[in-house]
Amino acid sequence: MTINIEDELRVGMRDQVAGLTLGTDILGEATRRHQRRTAVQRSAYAAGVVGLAGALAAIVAVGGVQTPAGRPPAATAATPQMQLASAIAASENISYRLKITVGDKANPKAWGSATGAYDPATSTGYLTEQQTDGPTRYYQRLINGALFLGISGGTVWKQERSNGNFRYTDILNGAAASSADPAQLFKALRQAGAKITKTNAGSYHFTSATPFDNESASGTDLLVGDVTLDKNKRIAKVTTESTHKGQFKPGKKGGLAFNDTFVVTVEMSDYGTPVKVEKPTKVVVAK
Amino acid sequence: MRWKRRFEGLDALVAERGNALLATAVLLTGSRPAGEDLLQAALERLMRHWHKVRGDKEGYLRRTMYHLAVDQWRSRKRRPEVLVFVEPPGRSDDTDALHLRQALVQALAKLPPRQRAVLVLRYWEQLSEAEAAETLGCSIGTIKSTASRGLTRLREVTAAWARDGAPVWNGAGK
Repeated sequence: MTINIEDELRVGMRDQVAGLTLGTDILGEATRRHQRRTAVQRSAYAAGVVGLAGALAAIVAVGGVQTPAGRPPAATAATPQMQLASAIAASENISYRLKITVGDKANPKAWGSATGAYDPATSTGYLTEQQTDGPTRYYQRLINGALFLGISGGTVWKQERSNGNFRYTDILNGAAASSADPAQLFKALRQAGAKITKTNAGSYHFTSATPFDNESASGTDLLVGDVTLDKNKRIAKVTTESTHKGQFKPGKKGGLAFNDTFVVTVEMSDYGTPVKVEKPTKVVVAK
Repeated sequence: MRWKRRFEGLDALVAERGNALLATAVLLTGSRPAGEDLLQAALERLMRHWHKVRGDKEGYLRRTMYHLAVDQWRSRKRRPEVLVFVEPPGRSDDTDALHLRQALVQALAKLPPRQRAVLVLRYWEQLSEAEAAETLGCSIGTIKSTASRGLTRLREVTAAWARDGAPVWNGAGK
């Protein structure tokens, strides 16, 4: 007996999907995905930033702290600003585990999360992203500054150009952007412009309102957040609620008014733990 | 209401053609969850380009799904290449043909994305080589060679049937 493989494949495919019906609100999920992307892009376009990064760059004051480069401020720092600066200094240049969660005010976990570890001394680490609207996981591996991207179920990784850090702008639709990058976050936390108060032992609250007026739009970036320190007075958690509120200029996006809020939570732990990452076996190099 | 005005007709399209689109997405990805993810991504892309897409919205969705499935690296919403284990055949009996088809579909999911997409276009969508080439934006020669490689892989993966005295394959593709 001779079998035609193409005919069998046709019948096999037909059998495979026979009776398949949409069981989930696929259009609703796609709409939510679209709204998230739109909100991120709108904020980026309006404020001239990528996600929250630029907004955070205008954030939180650690005003008045003058320390030589690379030297932590005195442990006896008195003001909340100085205490926070001390915690930031203690959290830099050391390996850590991290978890980044992105969502909105109603559900701070709505968009998904990414977990991993990073050692800034060797530019080595890994990051696994899991969005909430699909089963796919995205992987980033950094080995001595070389960045490899992978995907769940995939057999081949791709090596991309890298600046020695994760590609934070890629994760979770770009909403987290570099505000999820601890190095950028620390840098932002140092910059002047916000009010910091101590809420409890090892807990700080910050608020910032930064007006912007550029060729695309005008409005205000509002930032409200909390920083929690661990028992070693290093950064354990930073939660930032970022609201981009304003209006596009006439001729830009139809003069649309916008008011978008994202919530990004960055959790850091296991400082000083060695980070070991295996190089993927099958790699194609990006051209 | 605002959504309905903005994407007028999209809910009707999904209601009427959603099952068929999902079927294609499942064949392209190898699993239902990944297929739903792919269809969602294509719908999101259609929304993004709604005002630029003239005419056949379903055609746009299908083309987008194929491109997303194939172009898994350039697109951030990459599709998973589902790893499957092709079950060896059981005892030869009347269910041989059924097992064979299941194995073929499992093996299809194991192919590289481009080979899988070409085979789905050719043998599920029943497109000609020229139509498949247009859909994927490549030459007819590429479609021919890719389909040939895909079919060869399927024959290799399911060769256990032939070795175990099951039916013999009929050679090269059409």
